[in-house]
Amino acid sequence: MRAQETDVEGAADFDVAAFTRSAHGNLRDAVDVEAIRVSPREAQLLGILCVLEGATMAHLRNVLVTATHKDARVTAFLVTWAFEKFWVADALSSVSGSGSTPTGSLPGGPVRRATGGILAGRSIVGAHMVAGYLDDLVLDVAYDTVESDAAPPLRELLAVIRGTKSRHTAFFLSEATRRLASDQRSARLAERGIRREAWPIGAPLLDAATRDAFTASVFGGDVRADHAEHVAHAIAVLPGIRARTASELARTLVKGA
Amino acid sequence: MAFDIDKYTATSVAVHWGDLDLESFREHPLDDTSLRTLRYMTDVEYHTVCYTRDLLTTPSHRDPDVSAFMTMWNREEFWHGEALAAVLHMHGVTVQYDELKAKRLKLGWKDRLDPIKQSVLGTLVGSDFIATHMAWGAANEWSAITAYNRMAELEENPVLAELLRRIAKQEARHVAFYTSQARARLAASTKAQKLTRFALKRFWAPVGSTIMERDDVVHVMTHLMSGDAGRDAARKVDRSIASLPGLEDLRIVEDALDGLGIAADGDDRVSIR
Ligand SMILES: [Fe+2]
Ligand SMILES: [Fe+2]
Repeated sequence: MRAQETDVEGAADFDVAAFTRSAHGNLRDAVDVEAIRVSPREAQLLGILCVLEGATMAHLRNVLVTATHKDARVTAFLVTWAFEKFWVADALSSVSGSGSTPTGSLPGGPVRRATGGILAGRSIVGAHMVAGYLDDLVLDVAYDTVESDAAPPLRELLAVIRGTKSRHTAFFLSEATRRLASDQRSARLAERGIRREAWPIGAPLLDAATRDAFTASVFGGDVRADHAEHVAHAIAVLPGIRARTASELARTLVKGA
Repeated sequence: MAFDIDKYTATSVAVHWGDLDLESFREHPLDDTSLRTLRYMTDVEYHTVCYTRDLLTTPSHRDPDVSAFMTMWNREEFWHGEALAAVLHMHGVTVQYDELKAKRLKLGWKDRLDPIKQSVLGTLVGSDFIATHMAWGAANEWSAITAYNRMAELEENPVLAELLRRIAKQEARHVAFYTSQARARLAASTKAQKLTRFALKRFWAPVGSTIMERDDVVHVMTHLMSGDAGRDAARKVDRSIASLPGLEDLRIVEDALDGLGIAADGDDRVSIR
């Protein structure tokens, strides 16, 4: 038990209070979402992104049954993170014409997660931060893909979405780095998560065909395979993550889980 | 009446207090009794995520309306915590994330096992369990409104009263959501009614009982819910709960107060300290 109770070393450099105070709500206030016209191909990817961004409660279901819910700083972040992503999904739902944001359950379920969480103790928090970071990295590549031939009105919306998400990414990266550096167990748990879970986090909510379509458009072809390498590299430079884990991740992303 | 989730999400805001003269507390500070109650309320609001966790162990999160509600609700409750913390701050009491964390760590093994128990139970009784959670949520939100209104009444401080009124207004929308969910789900299943009746009667305790010391619970209940006026307010909450399908005649708040030995008659605040 002792080992679990050691506190995280290193100062936290992300200002959670400032983040919560300046949360971005309804994106329709900033962008004329209704006026954006998209191609069928764009609509498909944006619809998929809507599901992936909307997977917050399904993810929190697995996260909050572990020691992560006891970290008041992390939960303060997650409450605002879920709020911002709700409005991101809302805007994506509107431009893609996909209707309401579908929800569902992610694999594992609370019993397995809670049991695993008891064994993992507080080291699991670091692994959850890596999961959030990796999810953001993969979605960022997807946004790159949509943006590459988007017309200006859609570009404007994507810029707002990515601006919102950049603060999430900064938090996850800062927390993951700090926690993995001071706790080997966190790094092992993070690696296990990287290997075992599907990426991005909400992928299991998609049916097989949609998941394949996502993989093909985001990581298909030679150029796009570079994007998987790019994601893997960002993960590989985290403290305690082995090169082997990262290269496996790159292969999985291209292949589709 | 159905709850309009789109309208709720579109109008969900963090409670604001920037226009309120909190500086006035420096000249007219709240007394220690009130500060202790306020600290309790702050902790409860900040710990909403612990209740969310229990709710999420049921299949309820698959319902898009529930998922959308919980997203906004969590954030509103977090800001109730921030607002009350701002008042405490004027009295030299600072609530840090680290302290909240320490409180949650004290929850210990019981807390670690709770999601497992909840989920196993949730799987066994299926969607009927969601009805129980919704009725439980309604009972908690009604209690919250009552607590804030009682505090505003007792304090006679216009700045505090206005802040508590703003918070209670948001709690009223939470009540609307939970009751619309509970009403529909209970009406649809007598099994859900029986389970909910049993769970509330057997396990319900004033909000905060699981995270705060019994001393603190007794303090807050004595402060806000003792005497004739306090007991009247408790009865009102009980009547609201009992108005849900299959929960006729339940009196969980009064029973809880009796269990804690809170005086049921006499003047307000008679037995503080
Ligand atoms: Fe509240
Ligand atoms: Fe509430």
